[in-house]
Amino acid sequence: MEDWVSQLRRGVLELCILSLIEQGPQYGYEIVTRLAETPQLAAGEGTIYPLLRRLKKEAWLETFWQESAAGPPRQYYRLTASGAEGLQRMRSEWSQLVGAVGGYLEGGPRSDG
Amino acid sequence: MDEQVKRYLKEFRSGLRHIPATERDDMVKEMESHIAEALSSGRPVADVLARLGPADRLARAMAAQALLDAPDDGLRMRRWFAILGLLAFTGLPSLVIVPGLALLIFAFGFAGVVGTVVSFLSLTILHNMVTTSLPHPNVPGGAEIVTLPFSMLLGLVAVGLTWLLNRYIKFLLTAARNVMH
Repeated sequence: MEDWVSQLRRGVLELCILSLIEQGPQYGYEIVTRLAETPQLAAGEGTIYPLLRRLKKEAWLETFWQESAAGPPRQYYRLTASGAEGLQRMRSEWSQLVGAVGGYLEGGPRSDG
Repeated sequence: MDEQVKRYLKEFRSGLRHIPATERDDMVKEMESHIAEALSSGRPVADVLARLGPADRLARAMAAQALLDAPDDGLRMRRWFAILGLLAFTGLPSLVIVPGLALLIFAFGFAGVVGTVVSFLSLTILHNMVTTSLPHPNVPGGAEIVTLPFSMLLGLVAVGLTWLLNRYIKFLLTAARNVMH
């Protein structure tokens, strides 16, 4: 059960992160904090930072450093063109999937013997 | 900077020693920034570090991702050594199976290449010079009819084992990357 939930979370985390960043460039700590507002995702720094790294390597995200008033510079993440496109595709995949699963949960397609 | 934070970052940096310096510096810089942000929002140091989890585990997750991302090209040898170093903590799998497989690949590959080349040369150019043509009662011509395809088969085995090794490495790295819940 735990394994299933953990796999589910891992699967959707990328979609959530990209959607967050779509709203505007954000830095790591910001992203971590906002995701922590939904404990159902149970996404910690150890999962989020490697994921951000992978998305950057795949050129879906790009980064830039910016000085901050009180403290070290922050690394901001923003969507690239291919990232925005990828997010759109993920969104549509997601709604199709959710629709189909919802059908099953409500007792959908059944094979009558 | 707080002593605890300094210690944490030092351990974090140490856990990243298997990856290229520029990437390592970037990661440490980002983690430093993250911790500073967390502290400036008023959270206690112990709390912040506890949430991050053990420094070596966090570093391992980041390094594993970096190695998974790394292109499989010219930096071959360096990437291999980095992977071995990182996976050393898994014990048996990396210290025995990975080098063991690599050795087998080398052995099969070497035998395959040498065998193919020698058999081919023996059949053609060096026909009269290389005496691998052992008289065989049932096989017309020479032993090359057996050694040539057999050598190529050895080469194929090497290719297959290489594919297997790559898959296994990817599996190990992914497990290391996913180690944080």
